[in-house]
Amino acid sequence: MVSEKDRVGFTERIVGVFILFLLVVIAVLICIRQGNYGLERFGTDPVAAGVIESVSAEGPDLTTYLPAGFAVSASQEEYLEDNLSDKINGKAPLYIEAGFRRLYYQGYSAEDDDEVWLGLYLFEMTSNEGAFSVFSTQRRSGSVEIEGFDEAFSYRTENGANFVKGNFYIEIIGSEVSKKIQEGFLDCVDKFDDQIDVEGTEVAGLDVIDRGDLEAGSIKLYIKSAFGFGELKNVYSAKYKVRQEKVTVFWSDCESQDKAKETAAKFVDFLVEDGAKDQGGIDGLGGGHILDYYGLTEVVITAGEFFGRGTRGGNQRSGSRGGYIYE
Amino acid sequence: MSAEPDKKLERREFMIRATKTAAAIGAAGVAAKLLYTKESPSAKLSEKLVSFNDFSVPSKEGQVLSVVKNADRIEGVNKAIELLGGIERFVSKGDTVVIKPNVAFATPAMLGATANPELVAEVVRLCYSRGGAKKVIVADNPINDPASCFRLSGIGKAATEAGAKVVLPKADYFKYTTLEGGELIVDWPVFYAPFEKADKVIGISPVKDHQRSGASMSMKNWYGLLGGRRNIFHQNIHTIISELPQMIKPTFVILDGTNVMMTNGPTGGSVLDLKRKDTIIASTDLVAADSYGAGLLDMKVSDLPYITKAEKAGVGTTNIDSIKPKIVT
Repeated sequence: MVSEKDRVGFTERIVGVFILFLLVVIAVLICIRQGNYGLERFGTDPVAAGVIESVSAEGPDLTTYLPAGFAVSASQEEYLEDNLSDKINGKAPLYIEAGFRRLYYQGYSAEDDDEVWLGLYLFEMTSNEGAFSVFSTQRRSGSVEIEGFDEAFSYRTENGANFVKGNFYIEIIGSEVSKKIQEGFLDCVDKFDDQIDVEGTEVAGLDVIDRGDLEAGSIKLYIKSAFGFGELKNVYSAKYKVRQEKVTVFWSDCESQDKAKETAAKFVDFLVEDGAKDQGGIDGLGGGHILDYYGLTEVVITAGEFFGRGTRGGNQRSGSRGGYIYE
Repeated sequence: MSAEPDKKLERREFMIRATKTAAAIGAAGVAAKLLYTKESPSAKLSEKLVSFNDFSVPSKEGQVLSVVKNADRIEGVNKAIELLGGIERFVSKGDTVVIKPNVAFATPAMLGATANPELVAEVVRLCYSRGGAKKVIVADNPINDPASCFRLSGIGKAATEAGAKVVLPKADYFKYTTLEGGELIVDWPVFYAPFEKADKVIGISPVKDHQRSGASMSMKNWYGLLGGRRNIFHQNIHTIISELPQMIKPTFVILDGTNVMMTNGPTGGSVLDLKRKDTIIASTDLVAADSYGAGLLDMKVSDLPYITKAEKAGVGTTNIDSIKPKIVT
């Protein structure tokens, strides 16, 4: 015979049924949701071009850079890391690797002809060095200085201008080559320089060199894997004219003397493995090596915590492809 | 009754219930393990996978690749197509032709980031006048806003004035596809609708540097058919580019090396990024076209891994001499 204590109470029964009912409802909802699974929930919308962020409150208002004779043609656009490629496509990794924070974009069209327009790209990076890197590694050969601005940090072409200040890099692209476009982008540059509020414009690593005989506008900063050598990061390069010869110098702050010497030794081995011929050591300046690298004279040295490299002779191609700097 | 038997009963009841609970949890765990799958969720069950038709024409010896050096694009493209047998070889009377130019960016033609609008218009006109096409569609799924891209590049206006119908992407124009044997194009949305009833497909693209892949030429042009968050493929750029010409086999392609973007690709932005090479390439073999195009960028085939990947997959050949190209300087 079942004791009273073995019988399930009424309340207990109701609670139990309710819990079971709840579990069944949950199971049905899960089935419904899984059954209606759509890739678009995971960001594979069939049409997913140009996701535009709303204008952030703290970002610059690019309409204040409006050049004379132009009108704002559309709303300001902003892009973060995950949708940067929607605006600049395959160039996005270059910026992300250099410490990209946000892109602000504004279009302006000429008041008397909306086929004539300027596009202003303002890249906010996490550091001055990051901004300088994306500016310098994309610098166009054949560009000219912008009057009144330091050529190491600015240049213009026939249809645009590029400028770096603090942790901001600005690129202005014009739809044509014309006086109107030129006046427009120069006006933008002036306004940007006046209005952008940055703390400090220094780029660490540029104060260690003598810019006296430097070829104007040749300084570049490679953030990672310079020369295809993974251990070298944040490498600066610049061209000098030394007794009528062109010399390219590279330098990097290794943060300690020991690290600099270790890096230099490994880099010498790296070049030798790639076919360079070691011509011997150099006394003084922390020691170093001279190598013959397929007709180029290579000098690898250390000076305190700095790694340095100099290259003389031959025809080099500039750029960075496959991690190796060649020119 | 004494308290002791009641306590025993409760303990026994507790043990029974605990055992049943543990058994239920265990059964749920076993069921979950059996039902678990590592594969990502598939497309909606209601979506049928599609695949592009093969739009290629029978190969003809000596009429696979043509290269014409001419500062005038229009003269150049006419000559290049003529050397492959003329548009009549490719387009038949009554055909529906889809032209897929590179319209990726909202930039003017002079910056070389998109196909040249006059070139696109000329090919449209050839399809009608000499090919006898019934309908010519011009379509692309750009990176930036489609309407802006077609407008600012000039391609929309040029194509329309030449008599083509410009088709911009819309959500219901996309279907899901899987490339057989593909690593990346698996259950992926593609811009399919304009191609569904096409008889012939022609690609038109400029020769450009590309920050990620090294170059953007005739094979990369088909990236514009991918939908969704296609930028994830940038991590595996050479594989995705090599899969594109396997996904769709066009009738022929035109590679415009008149004003080549030598640096800062794929968007460029300055006239200083460009260099005149005054070359038009037409080809039924996309690997051969890109192999030749690499030289215009002062690169070698070995600098562009996607080309050899595509060759290994059977898309075409990097041995240009073997296909007896017609080169007119």
